[in-house]
Amino acid sequence: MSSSTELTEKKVFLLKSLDGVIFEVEESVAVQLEVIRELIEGDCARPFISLYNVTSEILALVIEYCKHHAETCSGGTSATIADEDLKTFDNEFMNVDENILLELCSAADYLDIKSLFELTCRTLASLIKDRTIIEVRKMFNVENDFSVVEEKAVRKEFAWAFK
Amino acid sequence: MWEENLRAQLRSRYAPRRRRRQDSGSSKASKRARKTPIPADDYADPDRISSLPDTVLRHILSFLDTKYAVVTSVLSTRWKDLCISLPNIVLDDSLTFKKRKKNFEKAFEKFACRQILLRNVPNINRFRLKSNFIEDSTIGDIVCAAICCKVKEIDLWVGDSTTVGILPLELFICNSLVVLKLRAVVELYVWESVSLPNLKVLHLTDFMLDGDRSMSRLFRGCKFVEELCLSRCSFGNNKVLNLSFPLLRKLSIDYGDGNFMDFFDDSNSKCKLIIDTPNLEFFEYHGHENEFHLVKNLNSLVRAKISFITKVKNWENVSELFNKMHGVKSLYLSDSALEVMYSNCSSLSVFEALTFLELSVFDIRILPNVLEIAPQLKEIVIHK
Repeated sequence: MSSSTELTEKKVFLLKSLDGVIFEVEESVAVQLEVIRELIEGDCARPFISLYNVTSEILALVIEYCKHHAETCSGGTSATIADEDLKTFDNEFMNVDENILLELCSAADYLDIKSLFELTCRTLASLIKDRTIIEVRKMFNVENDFSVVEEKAVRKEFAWAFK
Repeated sequence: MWEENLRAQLRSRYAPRRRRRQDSGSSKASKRARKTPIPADDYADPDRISSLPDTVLRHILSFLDTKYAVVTSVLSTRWKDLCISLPNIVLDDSLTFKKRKKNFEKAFEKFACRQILLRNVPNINRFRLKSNFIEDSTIGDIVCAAICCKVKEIDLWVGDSTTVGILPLELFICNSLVVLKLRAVVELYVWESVSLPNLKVLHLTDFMLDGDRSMSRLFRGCKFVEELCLSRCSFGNNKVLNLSFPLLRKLSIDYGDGNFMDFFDDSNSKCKLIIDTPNLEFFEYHGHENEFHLVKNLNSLVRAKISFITKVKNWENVSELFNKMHGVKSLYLSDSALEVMYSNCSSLSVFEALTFLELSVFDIRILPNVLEIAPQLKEIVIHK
């Protein structure tokens, strides 16, 4: 994390989070954010980019993810080793609480980082899969706003799915 | 466009029921709106997941088997209709009913139709249906509807069905289709004008491709496939199985074990195999010692797995195949295939590039012969 505004030899970008924290990232990391890659390709990229939908806590994680992926892919190791390495990293990276996970998913969607979006969606799906409805509601604070009659109707409509 | 017409037709067949449901749904919604909202706790955690956009929630749900996605519809009103328009649809009725239950079957069938026919997000990426219970005509309708939604991948396993003509003809003129996996013990009859220009992956399992014409029509219509797997398929009375695909990279032919052959007949053993695949990298064969001398082109081959159901009687056929595979780097051989290799090594051309050999049996006494034919060999792995 740095707030220096000088540009060094290597092309760097300054990303400003919603709460005003500035992150310095190299181009190889920045291009993993599809929104920024498009700006660069369209020659509209300014060195200073404000990201209005992402907090500094989440942006730090996103940058950590992109950095690791950029380094592993350009590291010159064989494809299979790199794949293994990314898999372990991804697994550990997803070892966060549900709220962080949701914000990461939302950020990956907003910043258009395909691999992170897939990863978070898959992880969220696996959290939902092994739980009952009541457990899912509790885990994500989903408020049941059905009336008793309405809920019964939905359960009846999809009775085959509830066994 | 025929897709449009077909979709309209199918809609009219299934839509009226939906309209009633929609009406009742909206009246319920207005009733709910009249209720005073429950004040939210100031200190309660917000419901972050429900505030994600529909597209994101649908993407999350599309990682689940559709059955689990459907269960989420009772989470809250926000989730109620999300499972109707998923980009990936994975329906498996064996997951759903342990035993047959008439009203469940109907409801499942209705859901499958609604899911595809009445979706408000038009395109389907992947459509998988494994079904023992759904009626044949309905399966036809569902597949048609999926085709209208520009489906890219169809994976259909209609387990116990033995009906002829279960598959709609539209399936074979679908432009959007990239992956087609069919598994069913049915006789496949293919229409005159097969056209699957974008198909890259074709898997046929437990199929009976009868008659010369059905098979050649099908293969002619999907010239540009890159992956072809034929598992436990019977080629009926075909005398020649012509596999000429300029872009094919992976080819797998598996005749299964002997049991399956009894089910049809053993005519496959008389079927000649023509293989003309200049870009083939991976070749897997498990079957009879066919007349391989019709192998024309395997110049790009890197990896191969060769095994035979029975002991090889006619070495010449198999030697012919081995000679065409000289560029291979990694090779698996069953015991009968290995026997041909080491007993016949003087008449075989040398495997110049072979470094990795997998075997099911090995006797140290054959090592000199093996090394003679594969001088670059670095590793032998033996599977028990």
